[in-house]
Amino acid sequence: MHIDARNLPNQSILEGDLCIVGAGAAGISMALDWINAPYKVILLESGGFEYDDKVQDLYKGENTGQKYYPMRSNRMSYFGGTTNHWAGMCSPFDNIDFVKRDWVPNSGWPITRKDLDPFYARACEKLKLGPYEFGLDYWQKQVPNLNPWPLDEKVIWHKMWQNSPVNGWSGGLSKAYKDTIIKAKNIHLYTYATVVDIDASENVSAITGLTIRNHTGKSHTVKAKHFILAGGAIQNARMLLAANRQAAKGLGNDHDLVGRYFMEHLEINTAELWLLKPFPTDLFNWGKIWCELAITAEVQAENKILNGTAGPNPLSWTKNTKPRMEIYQNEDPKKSWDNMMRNWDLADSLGKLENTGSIARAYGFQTRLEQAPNPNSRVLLSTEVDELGVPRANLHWKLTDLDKRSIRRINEIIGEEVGKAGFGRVRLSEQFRDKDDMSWPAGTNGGWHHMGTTRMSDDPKQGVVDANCQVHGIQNLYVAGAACYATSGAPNPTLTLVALSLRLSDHVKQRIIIV
Amino acid sequence: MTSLGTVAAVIPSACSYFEKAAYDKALAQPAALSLIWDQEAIINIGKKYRELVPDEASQRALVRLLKEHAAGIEQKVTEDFHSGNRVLVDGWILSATEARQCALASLEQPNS
Ligand SMILES: Cc1cc2nc3c(=O)[nH]c(=O)nc-3n(C[C@H](O)[C@H](O)[C@H](O)COP(=O)(O)OP(=O)(O)OC[C@H]3O[C@@H](n4cnc5c(N)ncnc54)[C@H](O)[C@@H]3O)c2cc1C
Repeated sequence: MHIDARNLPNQSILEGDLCIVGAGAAGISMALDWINAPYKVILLESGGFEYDDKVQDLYKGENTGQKYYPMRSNRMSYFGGTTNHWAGMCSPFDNIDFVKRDWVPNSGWPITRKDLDPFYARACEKLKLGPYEFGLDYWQKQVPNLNPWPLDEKVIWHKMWQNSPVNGWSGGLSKAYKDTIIKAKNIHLYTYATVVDIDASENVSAITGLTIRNHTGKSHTVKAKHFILAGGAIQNARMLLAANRQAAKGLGNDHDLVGRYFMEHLEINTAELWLLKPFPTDLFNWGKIWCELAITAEVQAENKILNGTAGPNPLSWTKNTKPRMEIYQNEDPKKSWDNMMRNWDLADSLGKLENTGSIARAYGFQTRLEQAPNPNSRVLLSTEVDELGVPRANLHWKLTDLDKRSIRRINEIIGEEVGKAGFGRVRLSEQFRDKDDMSWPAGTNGGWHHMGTTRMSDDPKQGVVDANCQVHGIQNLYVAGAACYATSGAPNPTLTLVALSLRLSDHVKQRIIIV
Repeated sequence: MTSLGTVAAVIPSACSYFEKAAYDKALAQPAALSLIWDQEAIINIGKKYRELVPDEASQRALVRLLKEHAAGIEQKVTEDFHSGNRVLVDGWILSATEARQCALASLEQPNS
């Protein structure tokens, strides 16, 4: 069922069993999971079914740290959320990503990869991927000619991705699920329903209601037994911090953790691989699947580095691309996106002209790195407010020396192994040659992956949410999405955040029965 | 013998010392790198290696280091990667042996 909140009488009261705030990857996946359940689910979405400049403007904010994409354009605010722009790349986190590593400060989740496995399988369905299979051996049986490079598997392995067909080019989750959600009788989707405040009980141990508003000037109240914030990692932190009438530092923020540990995936062109001879393989061709070189857990431990992978693209193409951090700077997300596509198309045509001789066998590596959890990398409230009266977000993205050292070392290890295997040579990009150089190049791109701002921990002093994604100390408030990540893993976040959200969804189903 | 005689006896050997060392030209041809670079690139890397390791910047020093592996130089290159005998030249992760081969190639140039 769909209701446009602009058309409701002012001061309406909406009541349900469960309220989900945000209809992006996390919110839609959970809502789908509740269809036909004997409960009324209220799904609140800030935008409508199409892009709307006024709504998108609510995302405007400041960037005060490491150079970043404009806050206004680094996410999308309408039904489908940022999947309206996502590329659809999906791969699960590795076992090591959940483990406490003594060389990665603040690492370690209260859950393991095994806990997520059944939910990963369900997340694959929601994202319309193939089966929950991410092993090279599985895919080699499905697709011919997936020949891996002859690298020592004790050091480097070939990590697989599946690319979702419901990507931004094909309308994202919005197009895939709009009709299903609208037709579902127990899912009440309210568009133009931006949450601007959260009410708690007197002792702030439970949420009693939400205030929603839109540009018509109307505001309404939402009441439910359980509330899940699924607005993306920046918005989730912003909503909690801005709800500071009853808790001076914001909800769930007794230990000053909300908004801290903001993480991105670094996606940087770091090296070139030149093959000595042609090596016939379709493994590194972009399609339904994708493959990158990953470093084994043992070698990460030995070198005390973060997890990361190197993705090979034709060098004739990568050398003609401009850093995304430079070209994705328009405040309008559609213009930023178009700029990036134009740059890629241009690189494609220039690359084709240059693709003769040994460069035709050369690849540019884009390293995809988890960012070390850093309390000084954070989302804060700005002094400016948006049109609906909510303080804007200020993103202070901060990288550490461990991030830089890890990127360099990963590429060095690959270079050493390629040399050992004798099939090519690797050249490090200029900014990754000097081991004492801790500066960041202009091409320090993020993947538009926002994580960690309400990190998960069993200990309320170390994390905002518990292992079930419930906000510590507030019995019916949960956070869904990558905000809950304790560490960011290297792969793109959406498959894991959908898995985690489905796990949360199961947990709430059990609790709602008890209530 | 007169003192002049002593000088005369010394000069020929000193000259031969400064003469270019004789070596198999294959030592100056890094087999793997020749598959991805042209001769100009090999020479450039060679020059950079000589700047990086001035102790090995002469033909004599390079020949001495390379000669003992002349028979199986390609195998030595692979061994270098296994034993950690690597160098970073202009960003390239190379075996020390192949980098020396480039350096030797760069010294074959007139005015090198
Ligand atoms: C260019 C680009 C490419 C990407 N490519 C990939 C990729 O290949 N693979 C991958 O895994 N990820 C990718 N991502 C990231 C991916 O899009 C996000 O990880 C994912 O969409 C996050 O899901 P979410 O539900 O947490 O948040 P979102 O999808 O951002 O959804 C949040 C929703 O909540 C709504 N909302 C926010 N605040 C409020 C409020 N106060 N009240 C009501 N509603 C609210 C928003 O309008 C929005 O619809 C990409 C992102 C971009 C920008």
